[in-house]
Amino acid sequence: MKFGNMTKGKLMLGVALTVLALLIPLICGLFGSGVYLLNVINYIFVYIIASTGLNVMTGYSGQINLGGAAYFSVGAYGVVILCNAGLPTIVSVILAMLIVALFGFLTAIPAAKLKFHFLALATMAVGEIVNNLLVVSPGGITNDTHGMFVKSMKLFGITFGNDTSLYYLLLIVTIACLIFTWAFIRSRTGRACVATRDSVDAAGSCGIDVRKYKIIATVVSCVIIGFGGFLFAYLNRYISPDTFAAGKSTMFMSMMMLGGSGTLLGPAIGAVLITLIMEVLRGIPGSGMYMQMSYGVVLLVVMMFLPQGLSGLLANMKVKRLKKKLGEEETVC
Amino acid sequence: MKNLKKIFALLLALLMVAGCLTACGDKQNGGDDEIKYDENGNPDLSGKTLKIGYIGNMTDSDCEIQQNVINLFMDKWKAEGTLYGADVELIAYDNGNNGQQDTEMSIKSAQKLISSDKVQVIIPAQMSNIIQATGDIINSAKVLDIGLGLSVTWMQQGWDYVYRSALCNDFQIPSITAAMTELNQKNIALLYANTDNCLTFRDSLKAGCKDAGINIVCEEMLPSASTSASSGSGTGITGQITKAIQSKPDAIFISHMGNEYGTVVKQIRQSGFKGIIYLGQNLWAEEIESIGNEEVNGVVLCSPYVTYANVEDCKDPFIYEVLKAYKEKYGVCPTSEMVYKAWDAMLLLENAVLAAKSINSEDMQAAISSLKFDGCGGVMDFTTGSNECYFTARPWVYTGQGAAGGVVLMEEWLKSDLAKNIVITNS
Amino acid sequence: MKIFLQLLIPGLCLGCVYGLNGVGASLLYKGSRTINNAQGSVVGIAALLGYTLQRNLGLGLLASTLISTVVMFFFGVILQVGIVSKVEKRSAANVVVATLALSLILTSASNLIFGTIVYESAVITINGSKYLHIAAADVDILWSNIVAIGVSLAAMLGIHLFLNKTKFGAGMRAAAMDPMAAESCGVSVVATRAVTWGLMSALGALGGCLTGPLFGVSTRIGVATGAKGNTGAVLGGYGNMYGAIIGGIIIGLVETAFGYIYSPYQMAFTNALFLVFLLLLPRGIMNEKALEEG
Repeated sequence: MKFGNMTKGKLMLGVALTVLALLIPLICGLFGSGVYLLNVINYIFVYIIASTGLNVMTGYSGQINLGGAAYFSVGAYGVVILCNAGLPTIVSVILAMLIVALFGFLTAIPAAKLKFHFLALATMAVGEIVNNLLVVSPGGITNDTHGMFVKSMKLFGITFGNDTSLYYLLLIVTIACLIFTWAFIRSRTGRACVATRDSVDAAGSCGIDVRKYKIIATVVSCVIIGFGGFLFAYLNRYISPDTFAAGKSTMFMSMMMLGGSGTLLGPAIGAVLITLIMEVLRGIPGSGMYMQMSYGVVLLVVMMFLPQGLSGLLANMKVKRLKKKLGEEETVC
Repeated sequence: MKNLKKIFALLLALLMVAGCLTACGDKQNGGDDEIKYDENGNPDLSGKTLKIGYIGNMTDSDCEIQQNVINLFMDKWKAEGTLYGADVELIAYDNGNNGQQDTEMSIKSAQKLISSDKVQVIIPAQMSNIIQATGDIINSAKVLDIGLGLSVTWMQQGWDYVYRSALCNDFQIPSITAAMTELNQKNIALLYANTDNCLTFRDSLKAGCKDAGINIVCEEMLPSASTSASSGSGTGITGQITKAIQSKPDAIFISHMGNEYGTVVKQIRQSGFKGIIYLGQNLWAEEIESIGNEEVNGVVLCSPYVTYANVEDCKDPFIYEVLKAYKEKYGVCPTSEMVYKAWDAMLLLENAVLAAKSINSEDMQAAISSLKFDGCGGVMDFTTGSNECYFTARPWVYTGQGAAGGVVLMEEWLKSDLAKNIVITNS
Repeated sequence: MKIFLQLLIPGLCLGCVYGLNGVGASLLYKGSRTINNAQGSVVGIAALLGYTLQRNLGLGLLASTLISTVVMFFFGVILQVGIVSKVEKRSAANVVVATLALSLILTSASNLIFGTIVYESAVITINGSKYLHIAAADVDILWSNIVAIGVSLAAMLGIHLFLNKTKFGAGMRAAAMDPMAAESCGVSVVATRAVTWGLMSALGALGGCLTGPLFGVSTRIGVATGAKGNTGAVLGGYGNMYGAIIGGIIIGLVETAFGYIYSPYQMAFTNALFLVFLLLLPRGIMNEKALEEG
């Protein structure tokens, strides 16, 4: 009976959420600042994708990546450059994702050998090098620091020109990305990746090729991040190297850490919260001076007091409650 | 069921935050009710608010000066009722990310200023790529955009609502090449940073030099902290400087970012270069002080205006008043040329409102094309239809005599003994 | 020869500053297996503090550098005791992100306090001249360069002696090898870790103040030099103090040389060199085994 209620409740919730999600652009259209709110929601979707992608590598496979912006930028620039060259959007997206995958693969081969901290340094260096190549690109393909304007996306005959149409696209794509990640982690390959994180030695002794699975996790992660980059380009409508500097990598990292790495919805929650924190801080009059500082403080406080992120906090609370319950039962016995 | 409750609580919290976000900015803007006109045809705009949006890095010294100037004008307007009694409000948003100005943050800020705060004017900070990034959104929303940057790129986009209240890099070139020709300098070494502004400046200069028959003998890139956090502007540029000096140029030209010129000038002098150094922008007085008076002699700048360490040093009557007003309010003499750019921007806004007799951005935009008035760098002439106002620069030289480099016009400097300490040409 | 010297001495000077930061990074890694991403901001603040002392109190370069170094030593200790030790307890990995956050806070705080202008402190003059003239090559070398190289090397020697000849230094080395065993022998690991952070900040501060006359003073420049310390340390073999010195010097020279050879890719080249070492020669020049997994 209880079980039945749960499913019914969940179903109701699901329906309610779907309706709400579909109606958001309409609700936002009702008042003036709704346009801005919808815009922020769209950025949130992009960051959910990027931080989820990062989570596959860092959260599930245990390899830190402080150069996420590099893959993000390859995705963004790749699609835009290929589109500008006259290829149809869908072809450019596929080609660009293949480039990101190859790039991820090439960096993963040697990186899979490195210890945690040095992987951090190495990925930082990758981020820097890619950013350098965006600033001074061979043949000027990225238009260097002048930046590139991005035309509206045309996909399957639909033009995604405004925030409303982009909202629906991003909604679908984000859910698809989350489902894909969920499925990947539950697949045989995904489970092997998680095993390498938990214990390299144990995984190795079970016959898992540790390096292979680390590389697979990296490539999957890079492709998801790159896909986020492609969507970001069409949302931001202008891309220039400064957007893909080290700050962006830190942002992905902090989104993932805040929500809780190694959980499916953790990074998504982190992405929502950090984007909203930044926007709310922007809105408070006179707070601009302290916006960057407050962002740092939030991150630091999370690291000091919530090392496992928000989902870790929830899990801890659950454990405590269970313990308490158990304790009570024991005393009763 | 507990999970459900949690999710609902989370959703509720999110909705509340979203509500806060929208509620903050949803103040209505006076409405479209009838405007009363007096017998002279001047409107009575009391009860209406002119909202000025500002996007900049709040922890940046340049942006601090810009905001000070905006506030100074706003207080004056409010006290004197200059804008037909209309109220003014400044809404400033931070676009800083990791200590740098960020285009994405700027775009979000612009979106918020336009759709949520409903501003009539946006003044983006001095970085040209920020103006470039936000220009399209601001222009298509028909909001007035007064850029303080110097790059030619964002003016080439054909945006009607985007104006510049400073001298474009391109218009500096004729006076630079004229100065080089006058001094009989044939070989120039070029040091440039890799930002949007510096690259376009480099390209225009190369074209200008080619036309004037001047050779670029050496061309080296300097890393700029504005494009990458891990490359400091001052460290590791010895190689570039040595190469530039080794090419035996008559003069060295630097195209860099505002607050990074000083360290490059100092290192060039320390490497033993005795010739003329051309700059793209004014040095801060603090920079001049630390470069040293002897070293700063012979640094040439082509600009409509220069900076002063003290209000009393300024002989230009217009700029004297600007600096005096600033010092009266904030207690210090502004030592960056940002004060002039922001001042001119606010003058443009004031004149646009007065000419349009309205604070509607479309009316103001229509009125600007007939405006011609005095600004910090001479006459600001918007009648050419190019959205630019200044077209000429004068060559100034830092002499190192007195405060803030003791800047004088080039003809005066050439007559003085100081010019003898500088190797003007190799040949 | 002239050009060689003109490039070599400033390159060496830059390298020594990177080396100072590298030594700090190595000490930290040996001591607590973590990486400090906030080092750059600390260097920037130290340099700005030194400059402010010179400008507002009229102190000489020597005095201001000393004061700034001592202040930053305690600042480093406070950072470790107040923040890092709390994060460290859970997982050393969190320190990476926590110090990134710290760097964000320190950078914007320093921008608010000192502004974003690049200041220049006065160059050192000896016998009334800023330059040392080397007649054989007809070249003028700035005294500031020579003093910076000299003081950096002396500081590194000082650290070497401190670690090897004092009891506390021996304790630090012991705690680095095996914290538990050291603790049981009466070494306070809490104290050694705090002192490690102090030393790291002090070394960075020394480098930042010494190069103020040469490269300018600002947070951005601090961030640039601080980050290069890690690069130098990796080149030399991470965790090896002497390797970090050599690695730092190599990075300084290479950066200067690339600036001379082909400046547009100067930074990309330096980063690529770093990556090549990290990936292909993880043991670095001194054959240190810290980098590899397992």
